[in-house]
Amino acid sequence: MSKGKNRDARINLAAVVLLLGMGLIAYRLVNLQVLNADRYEGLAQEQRLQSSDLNPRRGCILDNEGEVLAISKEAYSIFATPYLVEDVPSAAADLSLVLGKPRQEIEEKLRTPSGFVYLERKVSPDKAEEVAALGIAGIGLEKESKRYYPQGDLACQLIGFVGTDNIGLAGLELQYEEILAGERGEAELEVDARGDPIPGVTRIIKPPVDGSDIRLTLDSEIQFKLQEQLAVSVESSGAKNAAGLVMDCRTGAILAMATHPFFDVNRFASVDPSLTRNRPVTDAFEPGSVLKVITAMAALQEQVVTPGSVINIPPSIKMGEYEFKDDHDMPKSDLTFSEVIAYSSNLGTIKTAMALGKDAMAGYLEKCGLGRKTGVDFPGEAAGVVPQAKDWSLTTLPTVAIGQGISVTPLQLAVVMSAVANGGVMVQPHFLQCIVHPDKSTEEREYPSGERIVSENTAASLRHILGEVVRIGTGTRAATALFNCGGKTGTAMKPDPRGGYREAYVASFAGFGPSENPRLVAVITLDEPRTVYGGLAAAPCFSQVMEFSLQHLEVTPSLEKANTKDRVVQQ
Amino acid sequence: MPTRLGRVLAPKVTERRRSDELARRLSGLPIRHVDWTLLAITLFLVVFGMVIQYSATRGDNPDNPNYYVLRTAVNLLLGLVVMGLVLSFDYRRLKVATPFIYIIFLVALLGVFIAEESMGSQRWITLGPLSFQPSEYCKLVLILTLANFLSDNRADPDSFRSFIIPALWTLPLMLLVFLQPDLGTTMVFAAILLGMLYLVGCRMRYWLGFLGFGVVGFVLGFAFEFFKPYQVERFTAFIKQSASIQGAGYQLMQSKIAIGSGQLVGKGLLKGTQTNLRFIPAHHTDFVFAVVGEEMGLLGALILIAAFCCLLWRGVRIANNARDFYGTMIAFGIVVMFAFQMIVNIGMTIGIMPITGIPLPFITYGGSNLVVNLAAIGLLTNIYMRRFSQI
Repeated sequence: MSKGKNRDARINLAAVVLLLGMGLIAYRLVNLQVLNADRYEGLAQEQRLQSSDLNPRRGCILDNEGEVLAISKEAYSIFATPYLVEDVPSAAADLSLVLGKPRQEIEEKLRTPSGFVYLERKVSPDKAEEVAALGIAGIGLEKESKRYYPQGDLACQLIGFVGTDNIGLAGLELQYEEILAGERGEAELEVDARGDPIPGVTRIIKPPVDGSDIRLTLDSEIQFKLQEQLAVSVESSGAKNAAGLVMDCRTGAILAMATHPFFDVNRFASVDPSLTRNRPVTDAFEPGSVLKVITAMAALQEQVVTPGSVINIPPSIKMGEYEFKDDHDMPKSDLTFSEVIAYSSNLGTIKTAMALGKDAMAGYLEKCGLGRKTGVDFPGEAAGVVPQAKDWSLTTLPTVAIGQGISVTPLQLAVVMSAVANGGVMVQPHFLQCIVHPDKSTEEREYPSGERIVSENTAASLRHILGEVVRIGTGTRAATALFNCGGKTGTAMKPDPRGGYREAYVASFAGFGPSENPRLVAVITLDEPRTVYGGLAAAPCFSQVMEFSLQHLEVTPSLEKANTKDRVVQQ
Repeated sequence: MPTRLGRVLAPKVTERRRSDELARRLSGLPIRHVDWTLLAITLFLVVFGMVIQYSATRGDNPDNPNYYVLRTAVNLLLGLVVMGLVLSFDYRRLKVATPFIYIIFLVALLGVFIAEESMGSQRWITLGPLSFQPSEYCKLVLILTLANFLSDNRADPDSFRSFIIPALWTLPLMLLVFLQPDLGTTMVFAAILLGMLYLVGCRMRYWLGFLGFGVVGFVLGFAFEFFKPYQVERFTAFIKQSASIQGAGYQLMQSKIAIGSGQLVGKGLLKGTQTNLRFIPAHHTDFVFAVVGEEMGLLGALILIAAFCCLLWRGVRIANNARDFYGTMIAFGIVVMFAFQMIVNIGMTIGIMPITGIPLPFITYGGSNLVVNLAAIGLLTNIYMRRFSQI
């Protein structure tokens, strides 16, 4: 029967076709499971195993009494694995409600062709819980920390800020990044298809090391007083901005440093960058008469003059095509050197400087560390500009002697003033007092004491002269009720960026207290005040800050009142 | 003269003992002639399926890890009862009943549209605690219907009539299932029709014509956006493999990753990471083979495929040895049904076939499917044990 035979043949052909099909499947399986097995195993691990950073705790920034200036708080970032989100529009609607962000924006992010996208960084734990409660597949939470500055605008420019990835980007947060940051750890975790981690299989590859706290030399109360008084000065003088600092003249420990205007540190990243400059460190200015301190120091040490040396003050001094004058009348034509400084006579100072000579003057500028960074532990320090001795022209010596044509930072002035105050030794200005490790052990920072630049005697003579500034001279408003203080006023014309000088001034006062056994130095500068004189604009601020600070530090008031407010001789 | 392969597949009977054999076989009950190999393989596949289902679904429902396996066990009992019923009477009696069965299930398919919608397509009919999927039963109904007509047909198998009438029996079923929509089962129906037409010796041009008709219909469906988006996506994912990471492309990629990472001997039962972490989509239904590949490796996959080959071999052998052409047609139809589903299902998990919702016989979880498959085994057994003419 031919039909039957054909059927047999067809059945057999079908069987052969089936066998071929099986062969193809078997071949394909060998291809997948043997030849390309490693590739697929790799893909399987890649999507199943996720490496995850374990964030260490960032250290706190503390003031000298342990008050918290910066601390890290727990926060959560919300991310999505877009291809796992099934119903994008409804997920976006729910999330926009919780996060308070436009729905469109979230929807766009959920449609990005990537495996990972942040929906929101650093939300509060409460909000994170709300998001988790939505239970949307493909939406995950990542524990992070958010930096918080509980003191608001206190020491705002000093503290700086951290970026979203918790790396210090400015100020002390940047300076001490390595100490504060700690070390990131690493963990490997297994996730399921929804991106949820499988509990219990997280393998810690490297545990995180928490950052250490840093304790600053900063005194919050003095800092607060300084900021308050700078604000008062700006208010009353109409200055564009103001800066100041208070430093321990024996150690160089900075107790306060501020730049007006202030802002909330928590908003650091969003304020105008020009406001974030920590001017006492980063901005050099032409100091004017304050620099006469160095001229006097050099003249006394080199025995060109004594405090009692009488100097005849001419109406003017002509030097080449330039004619130097005093900008206010002197009470008499013959002044002692002490009175030259007290009344801030330009001509008297210039005559002294001429007697001192160019090389000696340049040598003392160098010794006082001008034109060099002080090495303070703060990023972006300015060195100031001191003309090179070999480039000095005929008029350089007289101009530099009265503090023009040279630029310094307030911090450099504070260091010089410290040397005068402490008996002639330079100090290393600093903010960091000690490091507090996570195990609570502390590591004190040692700061080398600097070079001696003048003798004890010279320093003492100069302190007396600077006391006279406050008693009878330009700085009477710097006098305090309880402490004898000394210091020097400065009223400097601001150089015009286009060359020459313009009718704008920086008023300043740099001084120390108490005179008998100096403890602190303070420098106050006001930029473009209406009342231009340092003695009028900056000295009252110094008085307030110095008196408060000394009292706060429980320094014994001066027993023998020399130039306290009641002893001041008003002109 | 049978071909060599035919001889291999035929039972070995030497001329010398032929009459003795005949005498022995004609006496006694048909149960004596049951194909124990076939039943052993079936048992093996069912157990294999339950083990894999347990491994795949244990983690899905922590409160009740045995949920799916217990349901399969219940379905298995039901299936065994149906199987016993199916082999209890001479299969030739089905001839008379076939038109009625056909009509009952056609009505059932229509009834599906009234039933509630489930998972985007309408497939189930619920009667009290039972729910069943008429389209699964229709596979067997179609085989019986076509075998009935084709074995009785006095006309020349080459004739147009011999082609068009079976096609007309098939088309209503295909259309109704296609509208559910269940593209996979539609394709199974087409495969059964084409397979059985092939066996009777249908003219090549009709045969190819029907195939061409299907392809043109598919292309037109594509062009006029008749298909559901997921169906289109599945097809494009197959054409452009690993191009799309979302949707169907994601499924295919995950399936390949799971199977590939299983390597030679697999990660062990219950230890498949891709399975347990839910990377494999539909891991107890359409993509169950990916679980086999991941947890049992190439070895387990090949053992399963070998078991299927063995099953098909027994099926072909039964077709070859059936007492009548009706039996041959039924057996062959069942072989085509199993073979097509197996190749397309496994093929889609390894990326050599487009993704369609076709189950892997005995391994995929599904009540109606298991019952129908066991009924099919019952039919094969029925045909085989009654292969000797009896009064």
